[in-house]
Amino acid sequence: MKKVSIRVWSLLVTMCVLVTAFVGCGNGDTQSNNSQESKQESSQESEASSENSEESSGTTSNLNETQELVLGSVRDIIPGDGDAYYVSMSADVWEPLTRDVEGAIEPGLAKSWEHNEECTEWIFHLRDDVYFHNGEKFNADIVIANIERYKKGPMTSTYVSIDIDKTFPGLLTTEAMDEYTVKFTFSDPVPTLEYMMSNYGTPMYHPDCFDAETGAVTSFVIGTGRYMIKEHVQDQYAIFERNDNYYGEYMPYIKTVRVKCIPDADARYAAIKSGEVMALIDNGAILTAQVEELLSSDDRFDVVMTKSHMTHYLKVNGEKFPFNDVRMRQAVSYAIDRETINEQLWGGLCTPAYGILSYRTPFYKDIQGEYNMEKAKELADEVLQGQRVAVDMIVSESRAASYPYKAEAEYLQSELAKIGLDVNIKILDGTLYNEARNNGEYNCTLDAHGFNNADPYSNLFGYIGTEGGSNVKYHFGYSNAEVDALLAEVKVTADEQKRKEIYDQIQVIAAEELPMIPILYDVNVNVHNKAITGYKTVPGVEWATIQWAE
Amino acid sequence: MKIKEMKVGTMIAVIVLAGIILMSVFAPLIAPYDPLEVNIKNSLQQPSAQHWLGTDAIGRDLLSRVIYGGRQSIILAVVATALSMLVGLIIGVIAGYFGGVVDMVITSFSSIFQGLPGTSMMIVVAGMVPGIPGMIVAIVITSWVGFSRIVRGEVMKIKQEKFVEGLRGLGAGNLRIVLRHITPNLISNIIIIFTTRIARVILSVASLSFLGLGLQPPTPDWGVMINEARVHFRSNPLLIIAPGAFIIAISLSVNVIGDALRDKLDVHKDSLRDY
Amino acid sequence: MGIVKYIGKRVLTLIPVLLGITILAFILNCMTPGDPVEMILTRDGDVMPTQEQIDIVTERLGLNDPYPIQYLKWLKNSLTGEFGQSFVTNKSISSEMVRRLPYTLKIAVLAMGFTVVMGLGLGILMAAFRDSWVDRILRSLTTIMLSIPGFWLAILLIFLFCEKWQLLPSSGYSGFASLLLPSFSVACSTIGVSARLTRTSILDELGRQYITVAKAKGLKNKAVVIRHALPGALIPIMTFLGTYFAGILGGSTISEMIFGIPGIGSYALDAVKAKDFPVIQAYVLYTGLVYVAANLLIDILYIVVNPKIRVGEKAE
Repeated sequence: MKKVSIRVWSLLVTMCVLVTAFVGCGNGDTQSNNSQESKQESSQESEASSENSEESSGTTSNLNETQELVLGSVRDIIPGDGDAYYVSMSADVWEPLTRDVEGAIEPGLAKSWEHNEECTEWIFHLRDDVYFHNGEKFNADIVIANIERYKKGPMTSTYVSIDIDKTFPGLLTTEAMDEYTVKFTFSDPVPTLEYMMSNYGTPMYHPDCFDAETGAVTSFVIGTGRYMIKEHVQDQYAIFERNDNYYGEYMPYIKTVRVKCIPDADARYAAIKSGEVMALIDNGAILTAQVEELLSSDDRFDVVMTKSHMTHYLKVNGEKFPFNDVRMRQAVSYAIDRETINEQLWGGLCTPAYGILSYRTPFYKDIQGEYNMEKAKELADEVLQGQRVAVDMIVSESRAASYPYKAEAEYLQSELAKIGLDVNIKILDGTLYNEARNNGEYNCTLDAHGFNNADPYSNLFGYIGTEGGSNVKYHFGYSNAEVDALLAEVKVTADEQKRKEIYDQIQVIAAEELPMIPILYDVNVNVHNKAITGYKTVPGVEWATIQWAE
Repeated sequence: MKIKEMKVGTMIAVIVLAGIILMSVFAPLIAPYDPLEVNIKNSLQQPSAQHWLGTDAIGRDLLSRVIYGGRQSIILAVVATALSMLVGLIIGVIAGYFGGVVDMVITSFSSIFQGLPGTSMMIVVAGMVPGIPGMIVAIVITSWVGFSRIVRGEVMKIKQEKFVEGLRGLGAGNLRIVLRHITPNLISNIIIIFTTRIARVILSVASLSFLGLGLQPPTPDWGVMINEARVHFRSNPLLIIAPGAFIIAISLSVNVIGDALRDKLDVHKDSLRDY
Repeated sequence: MGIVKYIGKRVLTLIPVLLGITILAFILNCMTPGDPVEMILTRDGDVMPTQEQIDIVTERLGLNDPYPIQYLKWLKNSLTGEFGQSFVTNKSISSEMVRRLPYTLKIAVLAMGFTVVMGLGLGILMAAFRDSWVDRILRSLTTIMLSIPGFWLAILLIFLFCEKWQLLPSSGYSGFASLLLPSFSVACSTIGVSARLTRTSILDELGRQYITVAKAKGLKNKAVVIRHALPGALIPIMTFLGTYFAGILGGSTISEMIFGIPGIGSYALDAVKAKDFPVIQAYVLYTGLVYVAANLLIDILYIVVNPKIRVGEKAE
């Protein structure tokens, strides 16, 4: 027995030693491999010390140089290998040829452009003062190399796919007319090229960072933007450093920005509240309803709101009873108390929506509607003839994670019961949701979509054109000859005023016939700690205007 | 077990458990409101005379939801546990009784299932097969083996005992022997395992629902409620405390009762020390 | 003696078990609704794949083959550590697992540390002060610990330690401090279980004859008595802890999710939610492997601790 006990004891001791050693060297490993840990710790120290120095010296310029800014994001801002863009545009690492700033097209790496009357030939004049992070010059050859890269696609992404047929439909040739001029020739008129190529349409990378054969990004992206990727630990954080040779406006104040990936909504709230991060950056990073709570509980925070290009809809399956009947769609629209939904579930920050186009697009027409339960019941009764009907409402789990869709669905469930619809809510994860929607196995769905191009043509056509991709695929079943004709017309109309008129007409029809029932225009809500200033003060410029507060 | 012999703790546990079960059974009579009744203008209310525990994000009465909150998961836990024990029992009895090749095949078959680690595998199975059937399958798959091994051992032991030999001499058929004489010998084991296991299954069901892989909203269920409340609990902490307290209360009381049963039935086999 | 031979034999019997696990994993995937090809092609939810694209991807994934062939191909690749690519992220699964493993490992080791120190500690305390108020209080405490749902505890811990007191980071991995909460929320119920187990094991052991003899010889001191009983009592505890460790090496899913730790568990959860078949298969194989290895290790430990145990006999 004695022997056994000695063995056991020695074993126990060994186990303890092993466990401690394990934990110990586990940390040691990271230190030597990534040097992340030491950095983290030292940065925390420097944070503490610089806070002190702030008090004594009272200057922030030094702080901007020395103190890392920590931001919190929902997803890793660098999706990395396998993603067409590798890094989100909001990191300001790469830049597009044209920019969509709040719905208006502004120059990016291209400073101006013109096209022939038919819109089949487009000439872009590039900036001649742009250098990549590696010191090489940006020019027409680089643009051609990138166009060649898009041709390797479609390349999938967590943002939007890179698909040359979408951005440059019917592209015949791309030529360099001189070092800083590029000419695109198309088989068919493309009246809105500058819209389609904005933002995610034309990411310009240095050819050294992608594989010319496959188009895949092979290293940290070498772009022209204000920040460079310095360090990245997948799904943990990414560190960006200021590009001191940036050519353009708004040279960033802060030298080092760390973006921490915090996938859990509640943990994000805790992180901003505890001061662990200074701001939350992704849309949906904080539920609108939580903003009020945060601001009222504490005066250390501030909120910046900008109009979002997202619109929340109740999208309906128009191929099936009851939503194949326009009166039923109108009834539902009347039965939705948008004001209340906004006030109670979205903290009153959004805007009730009655029109199909986002209020952020330049072609938005302000259309108003009303909440009228009596009218709703009347219309529904005409369709249902006093019967009750069961309808399936599907909600995708990922949407429900960033928007209060669960509560909204449950609220609509109780409201629609009043007009004879017994709603059966199904929260489905991504695949199952897509499957149900693509197979038309649903009656309605809470969903949102954005207009990532300032010109709404492709989206409008997709959703309400009889042949439109989404319309067909998702079984919206909407078909209106007049709308089709208008869409065909606007496609080849270059005159801005004329286009506006056509879009107005389409919006009026859509508000009447409700191929999709708009509920709210979304708002981007970004909260930040008052320790920083200049957050989101310039549209389209992400972090450059941020600095530590006095 | 006579009431007088019970310890205070056990008594409290019995009362709590009985209370929760009665509450669940008679929920429609007890609950002050319909747990699904939405009153959105009344959302996130603090506790008041009308709403003792306040209201949730779309103005449903929290108290009523909590009262209803155990109904589905308790039934689910009981059904899943019973089912996994039934599977374990049948397979264990077959393996133990017939022995030989049958036993060998079954034993190696079970070791496959034993190789599936509990929680993570449950999540995988429940995630792949949606809905309530998925949860039941997940729980059964991950928990029948332990029990079947115990049953097998017991059956083998009982088989050796003389009285079975004697019965066979009287001409009783195999099935009858198993059913009439062997199974009842396992009863005390079954009771203990059932109680200890069900406590864990209740937690598992809650976890799955919390992850969105189990019961779905608007079902008033404690796990679902905690998940939904994560965003809002700062304005009314009861949103998360109340359902959590009920989960803890039920699994705690079941655990305490399980302990008492074990002491009472005086089963001191390593095999029954169900962790 | 035949330790090596015994271990060899055990390994041989474990191979069919592993194969069984892989078959199960494969069947599970075949049964699951959802079309992987469509999933790959519609990642951004906006592209309408053409039949041609569908055919190409179907061919590339080998989904035209009959199931048994698909299984064998997958098995062959898995044996070389090649699990293919995730449907969702396009990334290599093996390198992703390798990247994530250290996080899970750190949580598992720390959780194990909590469990060993607190579980054994509380258990010994309870046994030493058996039936006194210390015992009663600790018994209630441990019973409560094992009745608390981990996810609930995790939410509470974040609220208190990160938001209220701002002592610990709320999410992600940033050094040792960030591991404390996730590990504790994983370990909490196991601490309860192992403490109770330690207590009963020691008491069982105390009831055995040789201890009674030792007592009779005049060993009145509780500590001495416990010291005598502990070695024997440790055996069931070790079995339990070994299995537990294997379990959390498979990923402490909920904790990783809530605390934003990119470990194996959160990988699996994401994969399950997105129906990312190859990842799930790889994950199931991995957990099976860990589990089997842990069981083997426990067997070996047994022999080391007590060579007298008849080889092949193992307490449940």
